[in-house]
Amino acid sequence: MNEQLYKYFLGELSDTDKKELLNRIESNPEDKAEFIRIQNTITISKLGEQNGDNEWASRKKKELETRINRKQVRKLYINLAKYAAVVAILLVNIWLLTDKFIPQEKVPLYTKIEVPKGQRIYMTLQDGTEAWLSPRSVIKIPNEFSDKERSVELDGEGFFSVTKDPRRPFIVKTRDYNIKVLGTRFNVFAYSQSDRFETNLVEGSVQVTNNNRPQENIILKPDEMVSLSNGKLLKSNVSFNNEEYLESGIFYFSNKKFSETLDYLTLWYNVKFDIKPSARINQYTSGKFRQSDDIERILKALQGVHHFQYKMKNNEEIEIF
Amino acid sequence: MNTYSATEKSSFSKIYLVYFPKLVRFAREYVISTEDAENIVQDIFMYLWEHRDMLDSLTNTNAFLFTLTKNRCIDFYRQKTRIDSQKESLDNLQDRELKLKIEALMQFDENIFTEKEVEDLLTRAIEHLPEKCRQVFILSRMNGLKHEEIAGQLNISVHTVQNHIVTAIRKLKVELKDYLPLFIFII
Repeated sequence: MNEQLYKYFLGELSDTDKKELLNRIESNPEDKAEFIRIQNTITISKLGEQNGDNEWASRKKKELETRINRKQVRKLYINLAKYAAVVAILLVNIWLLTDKFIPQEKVPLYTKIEVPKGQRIYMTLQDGTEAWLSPRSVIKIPNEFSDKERSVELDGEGFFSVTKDPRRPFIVKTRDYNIKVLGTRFNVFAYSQSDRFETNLVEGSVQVTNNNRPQENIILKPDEMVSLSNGKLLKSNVSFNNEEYLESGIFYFSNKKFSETLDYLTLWYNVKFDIKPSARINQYTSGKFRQSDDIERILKALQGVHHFQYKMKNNEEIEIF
Repeated sequence: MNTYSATEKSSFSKIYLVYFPKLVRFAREYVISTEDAENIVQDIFMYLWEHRDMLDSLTNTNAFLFTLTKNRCIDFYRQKTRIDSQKESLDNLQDRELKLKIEALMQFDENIFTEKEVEDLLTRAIEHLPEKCRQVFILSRMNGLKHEEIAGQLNISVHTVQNHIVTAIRKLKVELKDYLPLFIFII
């Protein structure tokens, strides 16, 4: 057995003999142990220094050095590529961040509120501003005010009591005019169906700007109002006495043309008046009525302060004579 | 680009020149092919070059390098059999031989590198050999001559050279008995 093993290590075995030996080793642990003992002894016997080692090692060392140099050049390029990638990612990030954080008007989400005819709505906005809206007014409020301004869009009439915030002006945008304030109480009348535009200031100061001609703007002081007259903004002194109306819902009018009162009704109740000359609508009248009443009761109440007759043609059209 | 210092370079260089041949001879015993053995060892030195800062902190370079080579040879075998098993030739003679050799390598006790100077151990073992036997063994192991060359030089037959070598191995095996496995447990 041992003879065969040593012959194997001397390289003296034919393939057939080798096969036979391997069969025996694989099936016999003791033979395998002896194989391993001889193998490892031979290995150790070759671990001393030999002639020619130095030349061989020197030659292989040169090969390794070329490999190292090639790898370092490759590494240099890989590093350059890495830096380029980092710079590219940085640029993309800067671009994305600026896109995100440099404030520009995002597409805001709005809440739209439509006041039914004959009804009034009282609401408090997120900044504490209070608003009383007249019938058939429509207001669009962003779900979140921006950092720069608080703006709402109004089509109709609203009385605003604006919470002070000097860094974020409150802006009421109407079809034709923007009313910009810092903190104040004021009324806006701006139904898009009506040519009338009015802003009354109770407290603070407001700036009214024409949307189409920004250079046209008027600054109001308390107890001043601005109204549209022949397509021009006109400032006049008047005290806004409808504050109570806004809160109680009782509408007062004093020394107003009857036609003006009818105009209000037109807007608030979505009715059309077919006015005959006999109604003398240019007469001045004073009085009051409860806004939540239906149109017929109001008309009956108005008959007490002005002489006229009416006839309901249908739900939307009323003849005044 | 060459940021390594001259001393770093020279200590690496020294280690390379001393160990490359020994490690290749060690590996060749188990992976059989000289080319494979050289590649394995060259890869080890590539790795060492890239981690050359750790060379100074090694307490036993000798044991470290041989253990590393042992492990790399086993890795090499595993990788090779993984690739080969996808082909067919599982039962051929070379594969069986290689498998057996790797088993021997796994049993190789690297404690010998921490406890002894292999060089001293060999010299001592050689001293105890009979005159002719010693002569043959020195020519073979130190001068690296082939058996035919020794036979020619000493004017003896190749067969006699082989006998001397076997005798030397037998004696050495006794000297090394502490580092050789007594039994083989199921692997």
